[in-house]
Amino acid sequence: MSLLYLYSFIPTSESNQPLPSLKGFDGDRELYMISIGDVTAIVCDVAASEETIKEKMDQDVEWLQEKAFHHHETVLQLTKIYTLIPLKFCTLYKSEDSLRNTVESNQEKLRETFSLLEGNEEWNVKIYCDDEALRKQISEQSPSIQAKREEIEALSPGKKFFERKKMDQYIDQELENEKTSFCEGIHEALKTHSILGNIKKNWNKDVTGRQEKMAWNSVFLLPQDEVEAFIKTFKGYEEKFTASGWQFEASGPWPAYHFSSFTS
Amino acid sequence: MGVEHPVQSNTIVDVLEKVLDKGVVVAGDIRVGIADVELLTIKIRLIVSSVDKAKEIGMDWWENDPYLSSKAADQNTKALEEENKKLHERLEQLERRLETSEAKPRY
Repeated sequence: MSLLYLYSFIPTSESNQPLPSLKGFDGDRELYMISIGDVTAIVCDVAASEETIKEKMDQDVEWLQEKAFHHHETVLQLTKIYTLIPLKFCTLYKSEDSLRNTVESNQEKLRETFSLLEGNEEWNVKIYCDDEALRKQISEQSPSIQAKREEIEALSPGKKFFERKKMDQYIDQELENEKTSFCEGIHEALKTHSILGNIKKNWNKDVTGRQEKMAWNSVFLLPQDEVEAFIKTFKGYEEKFTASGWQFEASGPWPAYHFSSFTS
Repeated sequence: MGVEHPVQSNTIVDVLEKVLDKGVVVAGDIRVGIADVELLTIKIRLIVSSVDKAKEIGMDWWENDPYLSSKAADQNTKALEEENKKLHERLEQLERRLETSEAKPRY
């Protein structure tokens, strides 16, 4: 049984740009285009059944990793050539007819998305924080915390214990507030360069594998001629705040995964 | 541009959070959703960062770790304990070897 693996949609008006020679999902057959009105789908044939794919997906992490990266690398290459709507990993069709039906019933949304994305790039910003260093700073520099600390010293030992605990919690809270307002400020400044800016979830350390905690994760849709200014602003923050325990990471241009996420 | 895709483990997380979680969802004929992107990212990151290293020094025990591989899902705990013991012995051997080679004078 053969399935159709869908990588992305491009405007048919750009489909005269030839596809580079790219190997498909099973590393064998090449990618090709199917034009459906204004929308052109970039696909490949996959000789696998629904069951095999589902099974692999559930049970073989290495396979999944390899294929997820294949999907990403393929879409990334295509992004360099076309205005492109990336599809989610493993979007599969049983037949060309079925793909045609889906495209036809989503023509309008696809057209809107193309006009949003044309000439723009997706960039990702992540800010990491050395919590310990910042916590120490807050604890030593805040006048209200200093005053409270002196008050506590005068208390009886039993009371001291509980008050210190409360104070730790208070400092933790201050730390979180400080992180949020710091990152929000940067986000707003970067957003002025963008058409859209979205805040994403912070991943925990198990996911990132880093020592510092992720404090901010956001994505921007930038007009191509704003990218340079965006990076300049970003680097300005990086130079100013790296010494005080912050780490900055900008990456891009990505396929516009976050700005073309409509559901049919 | 001056800023490129950062390498290694950051890239893995970056790619997975987009490819597995985002992108247009049009009704494909086949629904193969991923339930827990977070957990999967952790597993994949661990695999990518350790497989080659582990294989290089003969520590391919992860192939039998049910958390990482379905191949071993039906193995019992006893076998794993045995594996673990062997692993410790091996590690000790390696450390000893490392110590002796460090002790040698270098030219």
